[in-house]
Amino acid sequence: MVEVSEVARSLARFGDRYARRVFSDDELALWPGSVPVRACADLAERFAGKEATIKVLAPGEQGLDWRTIEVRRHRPAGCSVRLSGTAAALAQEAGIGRVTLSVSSAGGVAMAVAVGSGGGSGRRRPGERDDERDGECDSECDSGEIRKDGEP
Amino acid sequence: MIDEQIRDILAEFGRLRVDVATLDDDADLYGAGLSSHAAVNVMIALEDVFDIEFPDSLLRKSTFASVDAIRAAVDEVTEKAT
Repeated sequence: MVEVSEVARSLARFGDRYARRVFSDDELALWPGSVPVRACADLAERFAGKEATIKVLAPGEQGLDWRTIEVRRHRPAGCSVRLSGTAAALAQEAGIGRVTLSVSSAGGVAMAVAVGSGGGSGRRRPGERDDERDGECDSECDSGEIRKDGEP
Repeated sequence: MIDEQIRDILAEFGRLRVDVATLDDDADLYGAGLSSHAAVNVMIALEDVFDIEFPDSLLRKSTFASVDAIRAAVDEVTEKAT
């Protein structure tokens, strides 16, 4: 869980250094029509998704680059998690073949719930491409509903 | 000196529920309100102030668990850089 305003402050204070330390290039490529306020909410939701996924992976004393947990959006709704590097290795060690993630934001707070299971790679989301199923990790996963403040 | 700089950074970016000046060096910062997101800001601020970059191996919760732990991490990165 993270306040959207915290992400906005971090972007204002540290700019690119913050963004590129936490988010992948794909995560920073916002969909067309995004405006700054919505972009902050989007990144806050992604951060909450990463944090929730970290709790599932339970890295302990293993260092973990935030960018190895990538929260992907799918149209018309839903998201998935793509793990790589150390995050993928942690999932494999723990026998986690699938992470189901739900992210949302309301009242200026972004939150997420992640659940790890030993299943396969999960069903395809609407708008999800075949190549997105072939990540560096078998734990490419399913998604939950996304709600965005102010979205019609 | 390093401890003072660390405490200044925690005061500015840690969003702690208590005054960092009242915390012992080994006090649990997460228990004092440090969130994962605030820890990221603390990390970037530390990198700016000390002109270092934390390696992936130190991107773990325990690195930012206390003033002592942060100082040890800064020392480790600084020593490796010299």
